[in-house]
Amino acid sequence: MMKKHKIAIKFLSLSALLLTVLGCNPNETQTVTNFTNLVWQDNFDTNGAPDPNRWTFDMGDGTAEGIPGWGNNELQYYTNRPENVVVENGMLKITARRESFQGSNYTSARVLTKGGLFQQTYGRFEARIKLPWGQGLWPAFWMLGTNSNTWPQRGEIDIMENRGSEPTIIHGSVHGPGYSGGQATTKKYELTNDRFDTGFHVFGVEWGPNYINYYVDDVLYNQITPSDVTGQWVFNDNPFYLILNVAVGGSFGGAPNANTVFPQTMYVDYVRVYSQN
Amino acid sequence: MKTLKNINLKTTAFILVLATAFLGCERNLSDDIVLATFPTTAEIFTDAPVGLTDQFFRSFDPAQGANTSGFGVDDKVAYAGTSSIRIDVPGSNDPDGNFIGGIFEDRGAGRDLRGYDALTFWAKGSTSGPVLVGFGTDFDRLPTDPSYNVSATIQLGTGWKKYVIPMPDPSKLAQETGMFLFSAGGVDPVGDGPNGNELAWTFWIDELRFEKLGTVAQPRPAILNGSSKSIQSFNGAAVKLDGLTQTFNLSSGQDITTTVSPRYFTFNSSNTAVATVNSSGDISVLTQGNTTITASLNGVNANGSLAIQSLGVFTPAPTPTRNAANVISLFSDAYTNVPVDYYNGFWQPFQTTLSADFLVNGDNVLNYTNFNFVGTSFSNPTVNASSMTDVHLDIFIPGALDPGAQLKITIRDFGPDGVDGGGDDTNLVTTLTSANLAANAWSSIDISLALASKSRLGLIIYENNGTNLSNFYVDNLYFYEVPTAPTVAAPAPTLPAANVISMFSDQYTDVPVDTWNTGWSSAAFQDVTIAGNATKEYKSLSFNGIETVGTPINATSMTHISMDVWTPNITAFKVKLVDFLGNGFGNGDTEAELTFTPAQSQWVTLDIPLSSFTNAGMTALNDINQLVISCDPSGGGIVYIDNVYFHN
Repeated sequence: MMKKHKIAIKFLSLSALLLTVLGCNPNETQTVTNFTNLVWQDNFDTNGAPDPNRWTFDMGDGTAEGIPGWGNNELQYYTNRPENVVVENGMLKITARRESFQGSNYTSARVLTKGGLFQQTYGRFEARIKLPWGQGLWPAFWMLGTNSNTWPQRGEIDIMENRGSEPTIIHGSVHGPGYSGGQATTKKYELTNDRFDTGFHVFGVEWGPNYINYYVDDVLYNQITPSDVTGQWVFNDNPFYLILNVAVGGSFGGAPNANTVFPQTMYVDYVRVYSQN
Repeated sequence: MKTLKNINLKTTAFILVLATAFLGCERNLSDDIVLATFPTTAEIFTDAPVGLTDQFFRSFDPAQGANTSGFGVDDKVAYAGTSSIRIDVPGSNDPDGNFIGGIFEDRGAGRDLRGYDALTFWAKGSTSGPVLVGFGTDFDRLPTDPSYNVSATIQLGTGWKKYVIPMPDPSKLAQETGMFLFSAGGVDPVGDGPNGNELAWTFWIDELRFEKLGTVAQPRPAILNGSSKSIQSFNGAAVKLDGLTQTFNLSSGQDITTTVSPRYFTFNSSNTAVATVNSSGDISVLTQGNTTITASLNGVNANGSLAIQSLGVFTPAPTPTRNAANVISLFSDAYTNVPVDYYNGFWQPFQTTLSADFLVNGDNVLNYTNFNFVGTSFSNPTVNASSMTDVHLDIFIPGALDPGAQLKITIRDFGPDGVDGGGDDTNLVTTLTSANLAANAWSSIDISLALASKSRLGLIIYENNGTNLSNFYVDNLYFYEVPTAPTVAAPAPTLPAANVISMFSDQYTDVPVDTWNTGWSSAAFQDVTIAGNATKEYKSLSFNGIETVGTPINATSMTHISMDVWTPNITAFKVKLVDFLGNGFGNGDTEAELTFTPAQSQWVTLDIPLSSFTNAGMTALNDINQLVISCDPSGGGIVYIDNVYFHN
């Protein structure tokens, strides 16, 4: 759902934004904070399985969790096999494959910091990623809240989602009560003269009390505040954990077709989290 | 070690040369030097041609049907600005040509396009229709320096849309003159294939330029359209790699596949002793063995490969010797072939037969593999074989020949309606068995064209009528006529008259001959004229007497008897001389008969030494009263005779 946003600053670099904010008379609804205190990171420097002290896995097709297709009619079976998820050459590689496995026609992986590995309220969350491509691929870098409620009450912050059929476009979204699934508060960002599957880009949010700023590389392209969502703001005082995955098929972008090239790999150079100084 | 030494020597020599050059130069190149480059102009047509001369449009050849009258600039229609290119595509019935197309050529030095990654333009049509578009084609390039051509068929709609034709590898386009290419024919609203009912339409192109989009990505080059094939071949074979394409993913998320010049590719043979491949993708098979041909484009390995197994030296089919005037050829390098629709119709859904036709040492050979049945069609136009008497083909069975092999060959006449089917077709069916064929060898097959009507032949069908005939070659497939009479005169004798005693020749004054067909002969005789030349014709020949009893011939001063014969069917031709020994017939005559096998359907000069007769028992040559000819098949021989004379 496209929404009208109060801030009109678009496609400016972060520093330019800060200068603008400092140098002008800022709108009273704007809140900008500087997050420069690195508190958690993975540079994926050690080959092998992802660091178990940082990452765990979601496995299977969601049936065990009571949500077959992971709630989105997704087609993949998640594994922690090296052919689906591995750290190599300074990269986390999550690879979606077309293969018959445990009743599914595709395999892939989802890594997450759930279960006390890492979670944080507010901060700057960013990752440098090269995306896979092709109809039916659905790579994402996102977060889920840890309060005691069920989804969507506990909140979801999608830092980056992409339809493989749209190689120049990513989406940044929040889901909460009254604004989840297809009614999420979202905005897309489109590259000009470049694509997300041919090189690395930094996808991030700066999240503070009553706001979430979305950026790609040095371009801030959205700010979401409580007045942008059509329900309760569930992003204050609620620690979120990180998720990286490549889904196949699903309600976001549809299924792969005959032209989709497999395997497809999402390359993650680093994930970093900063807190306020 | 030796190689290393050589390299070192070369390197040293090179450095020495360099040093000499530098020392010898009075002025060195400055650091600011920039190599000359060509214009980088992006635009081709915006509201007018950009950077092009007035003659920038060059049509395809009107002799090939290209219509040159539909190209222009439309000042009323534009995507942007004031004007666009307007193409009026002719219908299939347009007498001025049934398609339109050509290239936009930079008639100057060319452009440096290395900074771009695609040709782009906006286009729309008066209806939706397909257009072949591309760039990189220059009609003037030599075969040794082929174009960097790129093309794809796009589907136009009735609203303006932007089209992107990516460059397979921009780094190759440092001096490009082929700015644009298009080709279009009438639209086929019924969708029943090209059959003459295609309609004229119009399309417009605007804002035609090269661009650096930055979103042309995920290159997936391919050879053989991405398939991995295996073929058997022979030393000396020439194999052309086709299906050369480059596929990119565009910002729209859609793939586009272009057909591209081999010049963009780097080809590789895994065993260059067995076969080499040149920069045009032409493979030369050299020796027996195995190799695999692969390719890459701009560092990306191409999908598809060709595994070649060379079986060694190829034995060609026997070269046909029949006079081309008596032949209608469907497939032979010895003759000019008539138009053939196809040598393999790939009839669906039951045909399994594939084609692996090949070219060895300039000899084209049809090869049917995985054979169950296959057809060769020659219906546009059908072949009028009314004057033809036989069909010939050479068949080679590679590998083992199953004793139960049966190859059924059906030759079909389409009948009065001139098309296959319709209830008026007639078939000539011949089934070859393993006795007619040979393993690893050519068998020459001649089949009598025994069809009542053979004026509209259009189809030959081969069927695997037995077992295990899965693979065979075909060459020299042609209809031919065994002429029953010569069409040209016998060659004129050249000997001086003084050396000749002539019985029958226009070249000499003949001695008296009582008769050329004695009453006791068994032959149908008449004097005929062949190409203006008097000739003796014998049909239904068993034996025939020629007598000079009135004036016997004394041939003692002669060394030979010569005669020209032309026969369509005689397998043994016999010549007998009879000397009456000066005392009349039946008083101890001396004679001898010689047998010859003259080549059929051509004039053959039998120049027979008289000593051959004496060696065969003849005792005198001074009172020759009879010349007797006879033949096999007895009673069925046809022979034409001219220039009968003794000479020395």
